[in-house]
Amino acid sequence: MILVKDLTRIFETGNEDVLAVDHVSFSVSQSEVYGLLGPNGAGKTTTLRMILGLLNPTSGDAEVEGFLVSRQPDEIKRRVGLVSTSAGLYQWLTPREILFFFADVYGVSKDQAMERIANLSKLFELTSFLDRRSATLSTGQKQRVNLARSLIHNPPVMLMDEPTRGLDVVGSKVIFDYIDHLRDAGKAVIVCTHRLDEAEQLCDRFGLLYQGEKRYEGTLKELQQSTSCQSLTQIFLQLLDASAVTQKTIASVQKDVN
Amino acid sequence: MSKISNRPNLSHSSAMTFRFSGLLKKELREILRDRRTIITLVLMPLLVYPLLGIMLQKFFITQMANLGKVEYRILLPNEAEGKLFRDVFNQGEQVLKLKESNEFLESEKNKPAGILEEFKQQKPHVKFLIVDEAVKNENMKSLVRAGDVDVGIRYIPSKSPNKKSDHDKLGGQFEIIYGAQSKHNRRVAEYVEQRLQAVRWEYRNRLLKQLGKSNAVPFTTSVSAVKSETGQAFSLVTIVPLILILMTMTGAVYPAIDLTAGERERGTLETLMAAPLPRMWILSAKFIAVLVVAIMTAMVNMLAMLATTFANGLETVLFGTGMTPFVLLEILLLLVIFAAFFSAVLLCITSFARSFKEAQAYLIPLMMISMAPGILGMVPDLKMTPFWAVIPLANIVLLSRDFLLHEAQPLLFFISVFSTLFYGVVALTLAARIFGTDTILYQNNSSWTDLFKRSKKSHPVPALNNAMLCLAVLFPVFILSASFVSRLGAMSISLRLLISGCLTFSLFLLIPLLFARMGGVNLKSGFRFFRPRILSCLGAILLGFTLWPFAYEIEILSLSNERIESLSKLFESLKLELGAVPLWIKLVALAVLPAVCEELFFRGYLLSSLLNRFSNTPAILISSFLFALFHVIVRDSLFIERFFPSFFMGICLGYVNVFARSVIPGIMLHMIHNGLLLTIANYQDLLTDWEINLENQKHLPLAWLGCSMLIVIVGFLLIRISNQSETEDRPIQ
Repeated sequence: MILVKDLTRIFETGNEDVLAVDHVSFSVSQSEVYGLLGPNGAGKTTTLRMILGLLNPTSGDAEVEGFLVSRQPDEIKRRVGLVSTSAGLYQWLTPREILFFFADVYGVSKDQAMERIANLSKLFELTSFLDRRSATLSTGQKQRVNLARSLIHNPPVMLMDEPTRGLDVVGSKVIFDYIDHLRDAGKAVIVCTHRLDEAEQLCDRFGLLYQGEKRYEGTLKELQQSTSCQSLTQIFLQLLDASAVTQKTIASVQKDVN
Repeated sequence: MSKISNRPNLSHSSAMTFRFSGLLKKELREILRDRRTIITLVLMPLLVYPLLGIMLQKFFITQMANLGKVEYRILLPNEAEGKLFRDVFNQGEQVLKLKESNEFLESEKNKPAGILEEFKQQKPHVKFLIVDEAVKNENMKSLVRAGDVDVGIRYIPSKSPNKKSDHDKLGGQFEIIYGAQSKHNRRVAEYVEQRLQAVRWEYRNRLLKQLGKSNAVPFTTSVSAVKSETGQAFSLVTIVPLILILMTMTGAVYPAIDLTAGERERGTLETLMAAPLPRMWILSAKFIAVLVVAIMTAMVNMLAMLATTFANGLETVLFGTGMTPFVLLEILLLLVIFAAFFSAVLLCITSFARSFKEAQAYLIPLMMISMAPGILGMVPDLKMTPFWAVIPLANIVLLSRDFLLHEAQPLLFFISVFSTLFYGVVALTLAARIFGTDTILYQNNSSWTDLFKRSKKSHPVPALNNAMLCLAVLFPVFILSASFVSRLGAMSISLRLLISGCLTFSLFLLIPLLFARMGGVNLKSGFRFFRPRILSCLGAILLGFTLWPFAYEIEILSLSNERIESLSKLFESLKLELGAVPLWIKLVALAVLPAVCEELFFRGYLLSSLLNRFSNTPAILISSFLFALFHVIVRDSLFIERFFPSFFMGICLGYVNVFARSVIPGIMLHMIHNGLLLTIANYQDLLTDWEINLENQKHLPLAWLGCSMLIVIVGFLLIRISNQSETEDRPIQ
């Protein structure tokens, strides 16, 4: 369903270039939740944005349901729902107006939109604040509206960027349940997070990004076998240590050479 | 939780039935519900205009109190008519003084504007000017128009003349002629009319007493306005459109920032960009929303301004006598056109911004720059010309003023409207290119200090921000240095020219070199310093000799007759000054150095960075515009007429550079062009003997232009052909 092929992105900052994503490849199939993990600045969000066509890759390509992002970005946008921590709400509109607007944007008919809004309101318990101005909603309520918004066109693919950031335990629980439901509904889901404990519970497979590179990939079991670590957190710490050692070694070798 | 169905909504994915109106409705709802929009839209006019009205009232009262004794100059055509008028006028004066005339004054009290009352009560000194010879009506009008007198009075006798000398039974008509553009003239006309009316009123009262009811009058009066040349030193009529334009701008600023940078900051823009919507649709919806708010602001401001002026009795002072509902509609139309243009410019700029604060920082200089042409438009006696018609903002201010004065010319109206709309379309096109692009949405936020850090890697061409920063440094330094050279009056002209040459070298070569070093720019490719083909050089040499007649004609066409005269005088003095300078110094300072340095900067450094971002034509147009802008500044003065020929030369040099893929042919062209003009000027006396004179600023013979055109075509063809087979630039080895 999702096929990421050799995606690379270099940001030009004027004086120097920053390699944000370095030849990353992976695939996600139907009813699968793929965890794209890594510390801040690992290149997770950049990868998601390239899959969706919001960012042009420096090289490589992504494919969603057979459509290439380089050729048919609009077809991909129609098939993808995006949930992002940075995504806000139109503060002067009510959740109902926002949901109707996005239904219209994605070409959902009015009757269908009404039905979906009713279902999603029930699913995310929006009914009590559906007609309140968005600016007055709490963080959790806003996030629930965002989840509903991303599902209004019922996309087969979901991209979720740090979906639990800023949420309390109850709010996070809603997200977990939501992701379970997405899997049950046969959707291909990519979840970006640096909360490894959460990822363990949610995801079927993982890709560990570090400094733009994919360092490990596999199920929890496969990762445990290949690293002899028990948890994702341990695996990650090992990865960071290894990287630090490598960098020190390189530095010392360079010193010797000079 | 209920289940989510696994049936994606893709039934009509290929032909999506998305409605643009939905997007527009969202934008309008979002912006019109915003408290801050409403404050700018409604509260600002409600607060600003009453305060402005009070301030203007105070201002006028103070001004009038300072005027002291006022003189009314009344022109009468001859002694006979003069005596007749004076008698009637004095009688009117007497009537008004009489106690029984109180009733008349009571009835008149409601008529004049309130704030002028205090001033009107002062007794003016009336001066009658009588011309001995018979002055025709047209002559009298021309004297009033010229402002030599305040009003002209002539008496038109009745067709059945009454032989009795008693003016009670004159039966004719007094015509009062005054200048429409002068408030003072109108006041004098009103003063005279009041006295004549008093005589009529008194006469009728007397008749009523004697005969009972009667409609008989001793004479009638008529008032005619003529267009006066010496109206007010400072036209208040220009203030009205300027204030309206400024308020319209203010109204558009907040929505433009909020719907672009604000949305980006709140994270809603990413959600919108993730939807399958054409970027142009998103931008268009935002543009319409900003435009709607701007138009609403313009209308609310217009209404508030009208209400305030009427309430304070300032309508004649502010709008002149030409305000009619139709004129108001015309001004509103101009405001709508201006709002469209300005909304597009705002969106273009705010699309660059990554946050609300950043957008505000960008817009403050824009607002300041926008004020300049508007304030220029208030210069007294500034006439609307084709030049002003293409200057944004100033054209709308001047056109609105002309509408109020009933002086608008249809051709200039169309030029102004089309040029403003054209600029709007250009701004919107540019906005569409940058709005929502990934570099704007997601580029790393680097600090301003990064701009001054040396690049770690080498770049074949300068980055656009590097070239623009270089330009931003160059421009003020260039203005300062131009002023500095003009202050060196005590030095010999040769020395000044050499200093000027050194400054050109330092500015256009050393500063870009410094920036190139900081930006890690490869000097050969960054300055387009490639080895040219011989044919390119040959073509450039031909162009160097033959482009000047066209640049010259463009300059002549953009000049008014008065400007040509003043320039001829200026050239005379320059000729005397430069006459003593050896030709080689002139050639080095004014031909060789500018050609090398300007080409290396404008067509080398700047153009290469522009070509990296834009296609050939836009890149050449932008660099030519900037090149022309620099050429408008000569020493410490502005020579606007230099813009168009410099722009033309910039375009030619730009195409030569792009076709030849090297800056060198352009340097040759530029050098020959400047050198040739200097040489012609140097040997002008000799050339005048051959009947060639460029200093009289007259058009060149058509044969010259025809021949030049042929050689220009050959020149461009040679350059074009020379590099057609070439695929890559070849750096000089």
